[in-house]
Amino acid sequence: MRRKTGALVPLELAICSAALALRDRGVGQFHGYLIAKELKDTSNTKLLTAYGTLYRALGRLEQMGLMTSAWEDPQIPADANRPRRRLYAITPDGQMAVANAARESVAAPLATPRVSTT
Amino acid sequence: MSPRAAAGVARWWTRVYTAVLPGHLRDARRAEVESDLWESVSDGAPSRHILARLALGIGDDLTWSLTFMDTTTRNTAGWSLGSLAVFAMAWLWLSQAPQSAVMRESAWAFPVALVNHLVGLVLLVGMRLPLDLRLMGWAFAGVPVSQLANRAAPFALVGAIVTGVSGMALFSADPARMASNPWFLFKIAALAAALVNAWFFHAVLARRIHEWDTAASLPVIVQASGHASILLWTLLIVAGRLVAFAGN
Repeated sequence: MRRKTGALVPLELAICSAALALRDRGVGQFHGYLIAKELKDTSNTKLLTAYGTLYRALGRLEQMGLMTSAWEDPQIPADANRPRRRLYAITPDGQMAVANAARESVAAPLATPRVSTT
Repeated sequence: MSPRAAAGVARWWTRVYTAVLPGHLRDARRAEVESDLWESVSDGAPSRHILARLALGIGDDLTWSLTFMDTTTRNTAGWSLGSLAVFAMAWLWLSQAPQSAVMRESAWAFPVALVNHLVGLVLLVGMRLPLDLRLMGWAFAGVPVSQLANRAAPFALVGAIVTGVSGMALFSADPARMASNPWFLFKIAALAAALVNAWFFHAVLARRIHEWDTAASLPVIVQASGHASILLWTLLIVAGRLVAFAGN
């Protein structure tokens, strides 16, 4: 099924929500593994999101303008002796998308037609 | 399997599905997965979790790769997979083919199929020969490789279809005897190798054809593909003739 233009799938919404949660804890920028761990902790699952699924979703969010990304300064990973990280951050549009989704989820039950059980 | 080995598998897969992408996308995805794998291993992730993350994302990896690969690569991937499916079905048919009463009892069916098989093979190999000679550097030095390949391709394709269909008809005359004939098996092996070589030339080497299209002397690997092509088609023809004389 083709998605509506601009509509977020649950994983994308979960990533944006997790990014906001990280930001509230003082982590404004995050790399893929960190957001995967945050998603795992909040959804209470055993596995982290698959590599392909996670990075595809992050790419889509960036394309939609809900996330931005930048590669960290090469000196930092060189000093820490680890691979370079791509750091993502949620944008104001991303924050608004989460707020809109939260409003819609509150409003949705009222809009659902009632079914008589009698 | 250790987590490091599992990370190696994930790294290998990432190299595979990003190989056909534009450089900036390929390098970014590889670096991003590399970073994730490093964090996973440092964080003590068990190998089964790394492998599960890899396996569950393969569908997304492939669709993402298809979205961003250039049109030529997507077309190449499409016809490569299509050809593979056709050959897989043909192989399945060969392994299950019942004896054909028409091919055994009709006075005309077998000779007609045989003539078509030879004509198709002559067309296929005959159209491929100028390209192979050009690749080896033995002839047509002034003609661009792309021109030879593009002009010969439609005729070679017709030849391949006629040869393939008539070959399957000939095979169905006596599947059990053919399947146990060592020269027939050798011929099929040579055919498979020749097709892989043709695929390698068109799908892999020809991606950089603009670098050597008009050069008189081509890169060694391109020359090797031409040599392999002539050798394999010759072996196939010789084996095809010897099929009639082997142990029956």
